[in-house]
Amino acid sequence: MAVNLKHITKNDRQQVYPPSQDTFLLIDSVVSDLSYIQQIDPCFVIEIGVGSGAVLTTLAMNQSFQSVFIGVDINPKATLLAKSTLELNNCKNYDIVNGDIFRQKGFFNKIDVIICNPPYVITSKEEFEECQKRKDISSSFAGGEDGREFIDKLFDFAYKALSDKGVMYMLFEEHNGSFPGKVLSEQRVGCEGLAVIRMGKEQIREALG
Amino acid sequence: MRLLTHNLLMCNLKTCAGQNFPLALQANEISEENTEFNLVLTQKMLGKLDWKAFHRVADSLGHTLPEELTPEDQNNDELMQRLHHLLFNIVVLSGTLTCQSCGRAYPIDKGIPNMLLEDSEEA
Ligand SMILES: C[S@@+](CC[C@H](N)C(=O)[O-])C[C@H]1O[C@@H](n2cnc3c(N)ncnc32)[C@H](O)[C@@H]1O
Ligand SMILES: [Zn+2]
Repeated sequence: MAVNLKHITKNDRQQVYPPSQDTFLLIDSVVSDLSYIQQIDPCFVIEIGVGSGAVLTTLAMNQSFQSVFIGVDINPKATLLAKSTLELNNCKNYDIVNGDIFRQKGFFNKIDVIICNPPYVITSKEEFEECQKRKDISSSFAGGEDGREFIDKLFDFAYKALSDKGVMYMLFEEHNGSFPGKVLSEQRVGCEGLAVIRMGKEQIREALG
Repeated sequence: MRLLTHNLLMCNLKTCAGQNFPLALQANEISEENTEFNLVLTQKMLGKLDWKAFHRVADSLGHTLPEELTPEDQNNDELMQRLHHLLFNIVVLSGTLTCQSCGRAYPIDKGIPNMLLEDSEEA
């Protein structure tokens, strides 16, 4: 059953990153890899930058593994929308937190699956920092130099947050570089070359350099 | 916010590192869901949980739990059902989470804890 997103209004789309081609590529890639997740038998699945909630809701609707689904976003409007998406689709065992993921040290060592479609657009360092402070839709895009500043912070966080058997599914754009892990899918959308990668803890450590 | 999530949240201020957990919960509005008892998920969750913090927050809501959880408790069906209810079915809709070290209060509104800092606090 596909996730119902009909409640998302025009107004929502101006304030929260709407379900887009990268969103659906991430959904399709993670769903194609469900047997891997099943074998991990996760307790905590978190989505970093949950946005509209489309990705997390799709996973929470899938009954092929038993776990808790937590969505975190820095944009308050996104957390409200994600919560209504989960509710509307009758999900259970989820929660939403409004916060900067990089300050959530209470997640360390506990998370089994991280899903993230990060802000990956190339901007100046200043713009990245400014957009992180704004905590609005601009925080969805700005990725800093090479679109890598958020991603590099994400690697550092993910390495600390994941349990030993944990994995991260991350979407990225070819200008961000290449990373150790298993590329699950690739798609060209206009001038962007999108890909989704699955990285284990060791691979994340390698990416940290 | 469910109590399982309370177990993951710490004061976000860097200056509180080391004494930022657990946050004290003041619940103004609670809703009780009634999702079906799930033993497998409850047992998995117990493997992740900081029991002391959970014990304390449950106590603050008027639910007394054993000081420590023994391996045999995992087979105590009645206790497991209670833990499932506390972890998964109690949803705090509004209230505050307060750091016991610095006193910073984080509001919970519409069921969502707000851990965001002001620009002046970010450093
Ligand atoms: C590209 S959007 C992806 C949204 C959604 N996951 C999707 O795929 O449609 C990135 C999201 O990350 C959030 N975000 C940016 N910086 C963040 C941070 N430091 N902590 C938590 N979330 C953040 C943004 O608000 C935005 O919702
Ligand atoms: Zn504090």
